[in-house]
Amino acid sequence: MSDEAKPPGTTDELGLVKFHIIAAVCWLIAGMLAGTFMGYRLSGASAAEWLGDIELLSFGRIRILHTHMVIFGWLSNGFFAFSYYAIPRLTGRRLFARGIAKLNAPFVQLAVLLGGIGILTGNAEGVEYAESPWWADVVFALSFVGMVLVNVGTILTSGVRNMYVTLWYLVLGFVFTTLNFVMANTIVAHVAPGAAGAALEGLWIHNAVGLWVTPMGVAIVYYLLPVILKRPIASHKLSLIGFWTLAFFYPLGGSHHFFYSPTPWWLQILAVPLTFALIFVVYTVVYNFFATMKGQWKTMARSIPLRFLIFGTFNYIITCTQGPFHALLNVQQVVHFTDWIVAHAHLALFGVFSWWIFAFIYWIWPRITGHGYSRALAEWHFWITLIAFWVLYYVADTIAGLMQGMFWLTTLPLMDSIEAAEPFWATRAISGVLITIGTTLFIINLFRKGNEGLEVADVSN
Amino acid sequence: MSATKEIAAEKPMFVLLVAGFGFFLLSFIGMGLGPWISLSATMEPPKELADANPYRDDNGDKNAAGRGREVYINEGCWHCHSQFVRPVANEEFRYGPVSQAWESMYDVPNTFGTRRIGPDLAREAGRRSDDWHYAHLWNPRSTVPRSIMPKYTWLFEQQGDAWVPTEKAKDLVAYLQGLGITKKEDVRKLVWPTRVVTAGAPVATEAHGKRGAELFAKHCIGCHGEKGDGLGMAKDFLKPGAADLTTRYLPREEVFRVLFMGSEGSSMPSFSELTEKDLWALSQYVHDLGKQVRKPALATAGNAAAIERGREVYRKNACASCHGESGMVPPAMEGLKPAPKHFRDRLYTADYIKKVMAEGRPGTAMVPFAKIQGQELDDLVAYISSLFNQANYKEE
Repeated sequence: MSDEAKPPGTTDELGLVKFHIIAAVCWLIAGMLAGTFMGYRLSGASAAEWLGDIELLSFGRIRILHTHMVIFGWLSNGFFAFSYYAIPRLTGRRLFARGIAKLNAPFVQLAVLLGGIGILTGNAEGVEYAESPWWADVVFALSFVGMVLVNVGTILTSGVRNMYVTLWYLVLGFVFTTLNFVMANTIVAHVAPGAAGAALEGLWIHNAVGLWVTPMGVAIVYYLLPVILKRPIASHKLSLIGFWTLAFFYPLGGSHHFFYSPTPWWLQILAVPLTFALIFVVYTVVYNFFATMKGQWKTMARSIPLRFLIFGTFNYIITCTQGPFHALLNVQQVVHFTDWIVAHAHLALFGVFSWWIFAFIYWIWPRITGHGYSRALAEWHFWITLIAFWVLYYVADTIAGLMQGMFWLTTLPLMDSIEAAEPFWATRAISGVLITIGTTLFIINLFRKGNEGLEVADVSN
Repeated sequence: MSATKEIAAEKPMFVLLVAGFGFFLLSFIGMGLGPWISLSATMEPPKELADANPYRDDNGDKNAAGRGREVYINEGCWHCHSQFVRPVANEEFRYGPVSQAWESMYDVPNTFGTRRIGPDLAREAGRRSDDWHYAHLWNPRSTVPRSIMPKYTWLFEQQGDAWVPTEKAKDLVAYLQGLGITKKEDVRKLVWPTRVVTAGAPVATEAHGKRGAELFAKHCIGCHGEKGDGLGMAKDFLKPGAADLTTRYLPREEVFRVLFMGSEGSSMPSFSELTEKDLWALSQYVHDLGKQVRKPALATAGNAAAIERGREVYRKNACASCHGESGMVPPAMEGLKPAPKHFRDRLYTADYIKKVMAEGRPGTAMVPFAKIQGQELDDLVAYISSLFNQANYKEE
C-alpha cells in the first residue's frame, strides 16, 4: 500500500513505457520492411517474379502482414506507451493493477506475433485490418481488455472529476475500440453476410482509424503541445467541441468505404453529410493546436518532438481535408479503389499518427533513460522521412491513383492502368527504402548517448 | 490545466458511457443493424439462389466453390481484386451488370474489397477457361505477360516435368468460375462478341509492324511464345494448346476476327478492348509470323486430280459435318466451343495438317484420324489448301 503513495510514474510505469516503446519500434521496422518489400514487388512484372515461388513471402500475405504489424504492433504499442505515461501524470495516481500491466506487455506482443504467423501461414480471415485468425484474435482481445482495465481503471478509480482533454480521448479510444474489435472479429468475420457485412466492415475499418488511432494520436498532441511550449491549450471550449463532435460524427460515416456498392442506397447517401461534417471537427482541433502555437513557431527549429508534432499536424490537415471530399460522390467515382486512397491512408497512418508517436518517443526517451540522443541523427531522420514520404510516396502514389481512375473511365484494357502506375510504384518502393533507412537511424539514435533532449526540464501535469 | 467548473462532458463515467458505449451503439444500430434489416426486407433473390447456398453441398458441407472461397480469403486475393460492379465509371461496360445485394447473400464475410489493382472479379464466371485460370495462377505472366500478380505455385505440384493443379487450385478455380454465375449470359454478350465485320485491313506499314510487335509482347507471348510458335510459358496447362502461328497463313482480316471474338472454349480470350488501330497493328504482326506459309501451301493445291481425290477423302471421313462443305463451317457447328476452323480463311503447312490428323487437337472436338495416311493424306492436304479463298485474300 505504501507503494500507492509514491509519486506517479516511478520505475514500474517507466519500465512499462520503455518496454512498449521498444516493442513498438521493433514492429515498426518489421512493418516497414514488409511495406518496402511489397512496394518493390508491385513495381513491374519482373519484380513480381522475384522470390515468387516462396509461399511465405507471397505478396497477398505480406500485404496483410504489413497493415497488421503497423496497426497492432507499431501504432498500438506506441499508444500503450503513451497512455501508461500520461495517465499517472494526469490523474495523480499510479497505475491500477500494475501486475496485469506487466504481464500484459509481453502478452500483447505474443498476440500480434501469433496473428502475424497466422497470416503468413495462409490462415488470414477476410475482414480488412482484422485478418489475423480467430485464435490470435482471442489472445489480442484478452490483452486489449487488460489494457482497458489498467488504463481506464486507473482513471475511474483515481477520483478525478474533471478530466484533462487527453484523458477524454484515451477513455473514448479504449472503450470504443474494445467494442469495435469484438464486433469486427465476431459479427463481421463470421455472421454478417454480403452487403450487410460490408456496412459493418465499413464501420470497423473506419473506426479502427477514427476511434482508435485518431483519439490516441490527438491525445498525444493535447498532452505534448502544452508541455513542450509551457503554456495551456488555447481554447478549452474548442477542445470540448472537437472531442464531442468527433465522438458523435466519426462513427457514423463508415459506410463511405463502400460507396456505390450493393449496401442500401439510403445508407450511402446518409454517409455523405455525416462524413463531410468531419471537416469541421478536424479544423476545430487543428485551429486549437495552432492557436496554442501562436508566437512559438520558431520553437520547432530547436525541438525535434515539436517539429514532428507540428508537421504531423500539417499532414493531419491535408488528410482530413481529403477525407470529406472523398465522400462526395463524383470524386468517389474516380478515386475509389485506386492508389489515391492508399496515399491518403498512408498520409494519415504514417504522416500523422506515426509522426506524433515519433514526437512522443523523442520527448519521453531522455526522461526514461536519463541520456539524450544525437541531434544530427534526429535531423537526418526528420528530413529523410519528410522528403522521402512526401515527394516519393505521397505525391507519386496520388498521381498513380488519379491515373488509374482516369484509365478506368476509358475502355482500354485494365493492364494499361497498371503499366501507367508502374513508374510511380517504383518511386514508392524507393521511398520505402529511404524511410526504412531514416527509421533505422531513429532506432540507432535511441541507443546512443547524446546531448539532445536533456535541456527541457520535466514538467509533470 | 484543470477547468474550475465541473461539467458532465469532462467526467470519466460520462465520457465512457456516452461517447464510448453510447456512440458505438448508435453507429452499430443505425449504420450496421439498420442496413442489415433493410436489406433482409428488400432483397429479392431468384428462387434458385434463395434455396441453395452455392458454397455448400446437399449435406451442408463446403463444396469445391466453398473451399475455393476460403483459399481466396486466406491468400488475400480480395486485397487486389474487388467484387462489386459499381453503377458508375464505365464499370457496367467493362465488367458486366451492376452488382446487386442478393448476389452476395451467402458471402460471410463479404469479399467486396476496397482496392482494385487487378480487375474486379464479381463477373468472372465464364469469362475465361479453366485452363487459363490454372496457367494464370501458376504464373500470371504465362497468360498476361506484363502482369504484376504474384505466382501461386504452391497450389500446384510437379508430376515429372509438368505442373498439375492440387485440389486447392481446383477449388479456387471452381469458386472463380462461379462468381456472378447468375449473370453469366449477360457477361458473355460483353466479353465474347459473336460477330465482327470490318471494311478490310488498312494499308500495311512498318509502324503497324512495330506497334504490333510491342502489343504481341504485351498480350500474347505468355501462351503463343516469344517466337509465336505456341510454346509460351503456359504451354503445359492449355488444352487446346496455343496456336503455333508460324504454321499457318492468316490473312489480317482473319487475325482481326480471332482477336476480336476470341475463341470461347479455348483459352484464347477476346481482345476487343484494344482499339481498332491496335488490333490491325497486332493483326499485321501475327500475319507476318506465318506469311511464308502461303506459297508452299498453295503449291500443294496445284494438282487438280489430287484435289479431287482429297475432296473424296474429306467427304468419306465426314470432315464436312464440322468444317462444312467447301470449308465453310455450318452455323450449327459454330456452337462448338472452341468452334471448328473455316478453311476458306486460312492456310496451314502440310506438316501441321498431318500432325493434327495424326494426333487430333486435344481439348477440341477434333479427334485423330490416324488411319488416313500416305497418298490419301497428301490429297487431303491438297484439298484443304484449295479451299482457301485466294480471290478474297490476295498476297500482301
